[in-house]
Formats: sequence, structure tokens, C-alpha cells
Amino acid sequence: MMVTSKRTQENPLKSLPRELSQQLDGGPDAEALLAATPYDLDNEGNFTEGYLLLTDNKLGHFYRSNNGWEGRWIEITRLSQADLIEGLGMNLLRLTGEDEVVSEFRFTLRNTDLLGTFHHQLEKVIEGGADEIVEAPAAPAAGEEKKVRCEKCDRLIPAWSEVCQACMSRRKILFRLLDFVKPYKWRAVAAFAIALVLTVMELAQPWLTRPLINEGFGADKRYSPNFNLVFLFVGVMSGLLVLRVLGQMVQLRLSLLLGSLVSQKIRNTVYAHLHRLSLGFFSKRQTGALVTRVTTDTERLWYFISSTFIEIILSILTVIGVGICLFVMNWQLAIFTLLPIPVMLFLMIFFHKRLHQSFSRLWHRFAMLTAVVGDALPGVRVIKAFSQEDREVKRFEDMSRALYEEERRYFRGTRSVFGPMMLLAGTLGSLIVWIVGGWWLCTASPGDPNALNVGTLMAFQMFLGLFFRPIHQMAHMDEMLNRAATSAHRVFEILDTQPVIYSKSNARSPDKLQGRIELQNITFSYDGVHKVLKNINVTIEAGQMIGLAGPSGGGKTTLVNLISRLYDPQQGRILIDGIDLRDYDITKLRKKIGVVLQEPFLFHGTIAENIAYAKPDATLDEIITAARAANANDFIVGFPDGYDTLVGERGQTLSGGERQRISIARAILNNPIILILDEATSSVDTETEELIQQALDELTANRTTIAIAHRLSTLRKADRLLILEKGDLIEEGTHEQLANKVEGLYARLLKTQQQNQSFIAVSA
Amino acid sequence: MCIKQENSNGIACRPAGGSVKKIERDAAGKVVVHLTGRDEPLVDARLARYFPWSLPDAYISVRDSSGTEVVMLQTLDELDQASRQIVEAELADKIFNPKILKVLQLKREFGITSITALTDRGEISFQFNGRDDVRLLSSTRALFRDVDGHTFELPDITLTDANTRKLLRRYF
Repeated sequence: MMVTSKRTQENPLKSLPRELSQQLDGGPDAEALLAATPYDLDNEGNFTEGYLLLTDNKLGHFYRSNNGWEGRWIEITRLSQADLIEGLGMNLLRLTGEDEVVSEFRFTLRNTDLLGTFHHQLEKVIEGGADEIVEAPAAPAAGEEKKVRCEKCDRLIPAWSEVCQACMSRRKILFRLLDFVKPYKWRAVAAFAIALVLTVMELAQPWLTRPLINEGFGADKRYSPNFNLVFLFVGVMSGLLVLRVLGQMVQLRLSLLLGSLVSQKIRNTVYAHLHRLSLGFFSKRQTGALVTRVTTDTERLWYFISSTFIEIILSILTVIGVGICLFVMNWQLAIFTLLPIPVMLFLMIFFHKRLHQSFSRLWHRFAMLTAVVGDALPGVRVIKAFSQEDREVKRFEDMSRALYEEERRYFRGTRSVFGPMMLLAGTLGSLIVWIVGGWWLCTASPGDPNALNVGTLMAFQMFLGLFFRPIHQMAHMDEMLNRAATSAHRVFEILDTQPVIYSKSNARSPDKLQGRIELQNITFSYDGVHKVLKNINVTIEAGQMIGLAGPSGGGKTTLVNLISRLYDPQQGRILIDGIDLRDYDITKLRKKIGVVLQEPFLFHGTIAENIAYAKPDATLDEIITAARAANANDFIVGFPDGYDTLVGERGQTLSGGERQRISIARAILNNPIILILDEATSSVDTETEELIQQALDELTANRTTIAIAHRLSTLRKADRLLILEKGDLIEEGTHEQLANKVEGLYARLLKTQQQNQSFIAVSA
Repeated sequence: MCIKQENSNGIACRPAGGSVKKIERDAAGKVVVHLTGRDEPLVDARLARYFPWSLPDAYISVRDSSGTEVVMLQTLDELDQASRQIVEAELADKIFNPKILKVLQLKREFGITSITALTDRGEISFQFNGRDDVRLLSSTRALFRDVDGHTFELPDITLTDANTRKLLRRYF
């Protein structure tokens, strides 16, 4: 007997801390180790460090003490049951013997996956002994297994993500934006080059002021006033001005357009990526917050790329350029002039953090406000029905006020102080030039060629105007950078999330499907511990109709979600025509699967467009045929606008039964091999149900059909019924078999419903 | 399984099953509930809170092992001391919700927020994705739901030290 073949973990010994594995290594128990899981809480709920180990006849319990690892082994024969009990924020493994609790172990949720596998294995060992262990669950293909922690930095990986956010995003967020600029790099380079030339021209203006005053006006005693010279300098300045105006026009046009192109690309990429993500991602997020990311955040990035980015670089270049000019003209005066700079830098750094924090708070408040609107408007019928308009308005006003409060705090505490402080620091430089330069000018010995002259002093003042402006502007840019970084981060967070469910690179194309479905040992859990489906084994022949029934929460919808591969099962596998679901190309596979849901979603558009949703190139004849088959043609043609009738965002102009039949027509037109009806008729009246039922009969012919229904009469045509309760497949058989089963759940449900129906019949 | 009771709404409803006489543990550690109007005691009873956060010590559901409610305890004052202790121990037993006493460090990196905090269970580090994982229970009380699903409670921000208040202010 090969021990290794039974192992569910690669090698459980390797997952243990080194000292513990060394302590065990070589021993007989290490050889036979089947599984291991850490446990991290003691009986009082305080932290501890320990491990549970499993061999085919013993359960080991080891914990760290002052003298290294201590532990004991429990014989499996002493145990009759191992219950995994879900608590709040923790799990409890209770081992019971014949009539007593043998041991209890407590776990935080950090290692839920390992614990789940361990418990599964332990149950098997207790039940039947080692020899009867079913072969290890099919190992998931490489790369599909979800990692709990990042291998590089040991950070936890968020549940909805497949990558370590920290390691993935190590590159500076804003520089990542440059990836999106790459396709337009020549445009970007041109815009940048023009801006560079403009900056140099800007510096030339004050530089020319010095000779203009000294030599043209004759402020320097060595020269006498000369209007020709003045004319020449002013002429050059005017020429530069015209060039700058023209250059700026071109540059703005280029960079604004660049921003638009890039943000369009980001917007499209984000939206497309959202659609690639698995269902699990969306069930964990508010739609409103996602909408903001696609619209508002990408708009902010547009602003960043089109203006802030270039402005920041130019400002830095201007500062350096002015600095050089000042030092070349008069380095002593330059030193005094630049004295206020450290003060400014300090202010900028000091305010940077506060600006960022305030801004992210503001953003959150704004998103909450958006969420209130997004929640309320789709529910407008409910709000009106219970006349809760005032409360909704108040909810909005509360959020609105919260936003205002935050803005007030932001403006008062940060925004309104920062600007004036920078102004003070900026004007200080100008005063220093007047007083220090003035002193030198007044005390210089006449005729000294190296003495400070009026021209230089004036040029300094003009340069200072250029110098402090970009620094002052950088204060606001800092704010813009914060905005852009926050937005970029939100956008990249989505882009970095990899879909949990994807097609393999060598995926098969499901061209000629028969529609035979096999579920083998399917166990599924949304959270790793609470099992929604437990070891389900079902084979559905091609063309069969299967009815799924049972109490709510039994796992019916989960089962069909697995067949459409909206989620992947943790254990077991699903085969279609003998091939694992995961080997198919997922997009092409889903095209072969048609779904009719209890609450059909109709998109904004005409009825014809909605019917043709899954097959946009359908001819009008095909659309009409499908609608006829769905018993929908008559009422559609009855509308004044016929097939051109617009249905609202949620199809508000149509009744539930009408919408249902449109969605059936949609499924018929799609011509699926496998059809899933998830309570397709439970929200309509009996007469409409009859019409829908006829439509469904049309649809289910020659297809593998899986129908979920609470109204059991819907399932009378099913070849076979599966009854699910709390994740277990408890009954299976034809309607007759199950209806006559004594004490059967189906028989009981059927009886209750028949009683109710006769009651309705009598009272009617 | 619902007995109509008259109250202001006329629709109050308590599950059938009488009231609790006594709660004890059997040799296997299972909770056994003796009920009035029922000879057989309920063995392996499970307890659950109706309002774990807003009203943790009242409205306790007593259910059978399959999760069907048998009786509701509106307040624990109905019980004798020994029974009450079992209920409290049982409720505390399957819950891991450390209370944050002091935040030592808060680091935000690429959207993941890491908090190292001193709690009533010792020093703990936990990570969460962002503001969506922080739930405000009142203007001073918050729950942090970390990436694994643990819940960390900050009972009252006004009772914490200045540094904690400064670090956590952004969530209030």
C-alpha cells in the first residue's frame, strides 16, 4: 500500500514549523502523515500556536511550550465523531467519543482551507479506517488553487483577488499610468518638447530685462540711455511672446487630447476587465462604488495626464532654471533670496499627509452619498408603497450634510491655511531682495564694475515671480497628485484582480455537445467551512429533464451555478460529455448553456433587442419564431410599438409573466444544449404559468434541462427528480417513485402543496 | 410553529415550545435544555444571538441541532444562575471577536490597510481591504472585518488614547 497516494496535501510534514517536523521526522508517524493543520486559539479563545496531525490511526495534537514542542496522540478508535462547528470569527473542531467530548480545538479563520481539508480527511478516517479512503480529490490544475498568503511578503491575499496587492503594485502607481501613455508616446514627447521650449522662452524674458534697464535705460552709469537698444530688446521680447502664445496653443491641444485618449483607454480597459471577473467579485461589492471607479476615477486620471503631469515636470524644470539664472547673475544675492525655500518645503511636506487623508475621507463621503442615490432609486416602488420618501430624503440629507461637514473640516483646517502660508513664504523672498539688494546697491562704491546694479535687482524681482509661482502651484499640484494617485490606485485595484474562473490556454471548444452531465463527488462551499453541497454524485443523460426541488438553502441554485461554471467546486469535478468543465473554453461553453431566471433581467432597449441579446445577429424571422414558441408573440404585437417597444431599465412597463416569456424567448433563440430554469415560473399566476409551461415544453424538448421549482407541478414532466436538503442529495427518482415514498420529503412537500391548492380552489 | 401573542402590533410571535426551566450540560458536554410543557429535554441545543452587536445579552435563540428554533430567551434574567452561566459560556465559546483597546500601528499600502492593535486577546495584526470592511455601529463604535472574516470591535473610540483616535478618525 502506497501511503503517499492517499495524501491530500503535497507533503504535510513540510507545512509544519521546522523544529516540529524535525522532532517528528524519521518517526513512524511522520511516514504515515495524511494531513496537518495549524490551530491558533486555546480553549479560552486566546492565541496559541499548535498543530493537529492525522495519520490513518492516530490524531496528533502538538503545541509550542517553553520546552519546545509538546504533544500527544489520540487513537482514532476512541473517536466516533468529528464535528466542525462554525462560530463567529472562528471554527471549533469537537471530537467526541462514545459518550464524552474527547477534545475541542479552536481555529481562527486564517487557515480555513487547510482545516476544511483536514476535517474532511479526519471524517473519512473515523468512518471507515484508512483503507477505505476515497482517492484524493482531483488535484486542481496548477495555478487554479487559491493562495492564502503571498509567497514573497507573507501578506494575506484578499478573498476576491488572486494576487498579492502589495507585491503586484510595488511599482509606483502613477508611473504605471505611463503604460497607458505608451501607445501615444510620440504625441506625448511632442507635447513635452514644446512645453520645454516654452519654459526656456519664459526664462529669457527676465533675463533680457537686465540689459534693457542697465544698457537701454542707462541705469548703469557706464551707459547712456539709448532708445534704439530699448526698441531692440522690446522687439525680441514681443517676438518671444508671440511664439509662446502660439506654442502654448499647440501644446495644450496636444496634451488635452492625449489625456482624453489615455483616459478613454483606461476606462475601456477597466470596464472590460470588470466583465472578466467572476461572480464572486460582484457579490462582495456595491454597484455604486464600482460605477464611480469606471467614471469619476478615470476622469480624474484624464485631468492628471492632460495637465497635472506635464505641469509638475515643467514646474520642477522652471525652479531649476530660475535657480541657475539667479546664481549666474549674483550668487550672493541668490543665497539670500532662496532662504525662504526650506520653510516652503517644510510646509509642503507637513501638509502633504493631511491633504491626502482629508481627501480620501472626502472621497469616501462622496461615494457614500452616491450609494444612497444608487440604492434608493431602483427601489422607488417600495419607497412609494410604504410612503418612505421623507425618510429617504432625510437619509440623503444626512449623507449630504456629512459630506459638507467633511468639506468644511478640509477647507478650514487644511485648504484655507496652506495657500496663505505659501503666499507668505513666497512674498518673503521678494522683500529680502529689496532689502538686501537695496543695501548693497546703496553702499556700493561708485564705479565698481562688480557692484550690484538696478538691472540685476529688477531681473531678480522678475525671476522671483517666475520662481515662486511654480512652487506655489506645486502646492495645488500636490493635491492633484493625491487625487490622481487615489484614483489610479482604485482603478489598478480592479485591474490587478484576476478572475478566479478562466479558461485554460489549451481549452477545448465545445462544438458538438450532447449534453450529458456528470457530477462526481461535488463538495462546494462559499467560505471554505460551511458546505453548501456535500459529496453530490449525479449523472444526467443527454436530453433528460431533471427537476431540482427541496427547501430553500438546500443548494439548488448553487448546483446550477456550478454547472454554468460561475464558481468552481472545491472537491470533485463536473464532466460534460465526459470532459472536465474546467477543460472547456468558458465563453464558448456558456453559449451552449441557456438560463431562465426567476427574475428575468431585461436591458434597456427594444423587445426585439432583448430577445436577440444572446444572438445579436438573429434575423427578424428568428426573433418572431422564438417569441411565438415562448407564447410571447401575441402580447408583444398587442403593444402599440410592437417588437419596437422600449423596455425600461428594469422592464417596468411589462408584467412579471410577460418579462418571463421574453426571457424564455431569449433562451429559445440562443438554442442551448443545456437549459437551466431557476424557478422560472414561480412569480406568475397559474394561467400565465400554463402559457409559460407550454413555452417551456417547446424549449426543453431534446435538450438537457435542469429545472428548479418550488411549485412541484412544474416538474411533472421531469424524467427524474433530485431532492436537495441542506447540501445533501436526499432523494432521487421519478415523480411516481418519490410521491409514493413513505416519509419522503418530496411526498410531504407534494401533499402540503396539494392541500394548499385545494384550499385555494375551494375559496375561489 | 408560532404562537400568536397580543401586543401593540398584534403580530408578535414566539416559537412554540414553552419556556426554559433549566439548562445543563450532559457528560458529552452537550447543552441540555429542560422546557416547561415538554417532558423530553432538548439535547444538543444550539444557542444563537438575535442581535450579536446591538443587543448581545438579550434575545437568545435556543435551537435544536438542526437549527430549528425551539424557544427564544428574551432576557437571561429568566434563568437561574447555573443555567445562565452555561448560556453565557456557550455563547462566548464559539465567538472570536477581539476588542481593540489600542491601535499600535496603522499602515496603508496599495489599498490594504494593516492594523496592529492591542486587544483583549493580546496583540493582533490584521488586514482589510478598505473602508467597505469597516462598519460603523454608532458614531463612536466600529467593526473591522478582516480579509479572513474575523471581526474586530472598537467598542468606543472616545475611550481610546490620542494616537488611536488620530489613526482611526478617518473611519468615523
